[in-house]
Amino acid sequence: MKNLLVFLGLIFLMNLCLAQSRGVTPMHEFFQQYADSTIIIEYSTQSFEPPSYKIISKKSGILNCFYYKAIDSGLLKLYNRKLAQIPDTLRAFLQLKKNNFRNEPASINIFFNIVAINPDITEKMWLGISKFKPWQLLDDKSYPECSAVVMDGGSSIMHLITKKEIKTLVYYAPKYYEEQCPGNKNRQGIIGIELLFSRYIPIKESVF
Amino acid sequence: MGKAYFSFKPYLLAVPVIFLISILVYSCKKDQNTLLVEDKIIAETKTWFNVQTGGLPITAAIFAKNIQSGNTIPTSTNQNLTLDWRNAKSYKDVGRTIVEVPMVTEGIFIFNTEALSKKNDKVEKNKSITRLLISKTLGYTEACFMTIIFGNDYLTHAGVRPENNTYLKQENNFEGIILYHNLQGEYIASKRFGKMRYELDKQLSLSPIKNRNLSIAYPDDCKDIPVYQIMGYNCVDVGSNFTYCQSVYSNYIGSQTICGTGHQTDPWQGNPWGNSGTSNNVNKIIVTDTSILNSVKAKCALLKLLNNNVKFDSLLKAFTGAGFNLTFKVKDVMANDPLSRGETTNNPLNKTEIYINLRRSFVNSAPAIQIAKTLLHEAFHANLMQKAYEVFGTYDINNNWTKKPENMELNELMDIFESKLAGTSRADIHHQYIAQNIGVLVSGLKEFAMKYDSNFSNYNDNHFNGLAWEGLEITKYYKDNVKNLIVDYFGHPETADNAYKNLQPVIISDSQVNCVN
Repeated sequence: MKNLLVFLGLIFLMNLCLAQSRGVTPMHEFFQQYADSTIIIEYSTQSFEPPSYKIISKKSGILNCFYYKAIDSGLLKLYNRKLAQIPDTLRAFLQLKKNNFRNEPASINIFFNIVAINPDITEKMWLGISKFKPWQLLDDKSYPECSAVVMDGGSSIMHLITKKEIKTLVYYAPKYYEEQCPGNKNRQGIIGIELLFSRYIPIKESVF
Repeated sequence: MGKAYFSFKPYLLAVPVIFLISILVYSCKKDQNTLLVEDKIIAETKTWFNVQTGGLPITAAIFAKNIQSGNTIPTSTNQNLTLDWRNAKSYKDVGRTIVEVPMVTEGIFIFNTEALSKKNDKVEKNKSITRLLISKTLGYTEACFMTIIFGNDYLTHAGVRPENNTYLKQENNFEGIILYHNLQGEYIASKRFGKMRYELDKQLSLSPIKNRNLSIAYPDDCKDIPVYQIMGYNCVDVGSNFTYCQSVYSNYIGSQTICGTGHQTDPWQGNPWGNSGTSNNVNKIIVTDTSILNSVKAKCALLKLLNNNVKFDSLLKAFTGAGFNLTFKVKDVMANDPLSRGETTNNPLNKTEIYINLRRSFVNSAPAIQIAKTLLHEAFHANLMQKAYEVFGTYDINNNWTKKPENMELNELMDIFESKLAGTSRADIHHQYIAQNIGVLVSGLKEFAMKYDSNFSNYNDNHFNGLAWEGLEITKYYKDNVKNLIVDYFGHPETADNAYKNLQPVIISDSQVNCVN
């Protein structure tokens, strides 16, 4: 019995998938302070690249979409030695300074932008998301992990922000696990919501 | 003039005759030389092979040691397989010489994809042929057993010459499977030809076990091919194709998954077995799917790693004869698009089959060194999955074990599982283990760059650390033990985190690996 409890405890602990998210940033706190309710999808990568975000926010009944993507084309030029003859040390510290700036936790800065979308479309997106009842969704730590295995499958991360709280839900490879162990409403929810974000905010998430 | 012509006429005929005889003599002389060279090659090959095997006899049992079901072969009737060196053939391939040596037995020894009916002792003796296959390049010799299993339709064609099919060349209407086993009798690779794949599809659909709903983790073009070993004793030939045997044994020796048309046509490409080269080579039960072979950079990075990269070999050793298969693929769609570059997964219906998938858009845009890093990283996952499954029968490590395994590496992994890290998933636990053993990735990358990157001399340890830590910086180990270390960054002290994040793009940008030749 003791062994069984320890085993179940381990299984439970193993399913607490929080490590993939970069957590709450000044950008999250900004929306908590100034908006009524906000949903953010975080796109983490398998690299040192900072995550990008897509955001839908509601304030006084008006919906807006935003995105955050820390792209610095000047940095890419610095890495390319053929473009400019720069002494190694100077180049290294130029990169360092620019990279450190880019790697700062997301905030309202030059990497943050509004996405110009027709209000009717934004309304449609919000309604579509609402059908999945995002505020009622649970994430991977609330149910047993599917027995199928995928490593480096990546996580889907959603932040739900209200005046009261910032809730982060993490789903490890939800599409894969929904195919392997179908029927989980929570995974279906995040898959559907992510799809709506991709459709209505068509900014490429992939960062290699 | 006319008189002179008539007086020389009888001799004029002699001129072309002498000329033709000269050509014939010269040609025969050349053939004789060729034969002498061939004899020499075969004699050298025989000597090399005897050194490899210690002169021990080859028995049918080496192929049957992984019998999964069915009757075992009675020890007393186990056959010796004799190499018929007198009928060995050698021929030239690009940059190497191939030698094929037929294997003969007193009775019947064949492979088939169907079991023999117990009521029927009539054996189709031409169903397969097995030969020792040797490749000789300058200073490098490799060997394996090659078995050609002929499709039923092929054998019914008039005028077919099954024995004419070789490693390099098959008859135009050939259909069947070619299986490769290493010198220890372990399955290495296989390839399907022609309509045989449809015959097998039909055969599989009749089997309730094989007729299953394939999932996304199981590539659509993969087929489980059952392989049977059929042996007969005291046989009498009946016609040219069949023989009756007093005793016949049919053993299922396992199934092999062939994806697409199967392994690369050249089983030696970066996949040496039974070689006489360096001692760190391992026999790998891996399949490089055609999707890898069709991707220039993925193929380049993988084959370079397979070419005796010590750390990559050490990670793949888990797939050496332990009953696990590893398949490398390039895929358009990954488990969690669009952000994954590489992933390691398994066949949920057969958990001893593990897949390493690379995302096509990633391999198309990334330099070879970054693909190599991803392959090393994923191979580490595959290694840990195999180790855990072999001991616990599951990819999770839990306290269901009754005896702590001897394997120290596994103990370390178990400790991480048991440390009850809050907020960790199975993948996070793997990453924590990989982080604690980051030296494997760093060394593997260094060796790769030293051998193949013309810009190697411009890199230092921090460049390799930057590349190796990419994607692992979220681990607890990195945050607690690495991130804030102070390292040298162009003559200035800097945190490891800053140095690695800045040098990773530098090595990616500067790397020069030749993937053309």
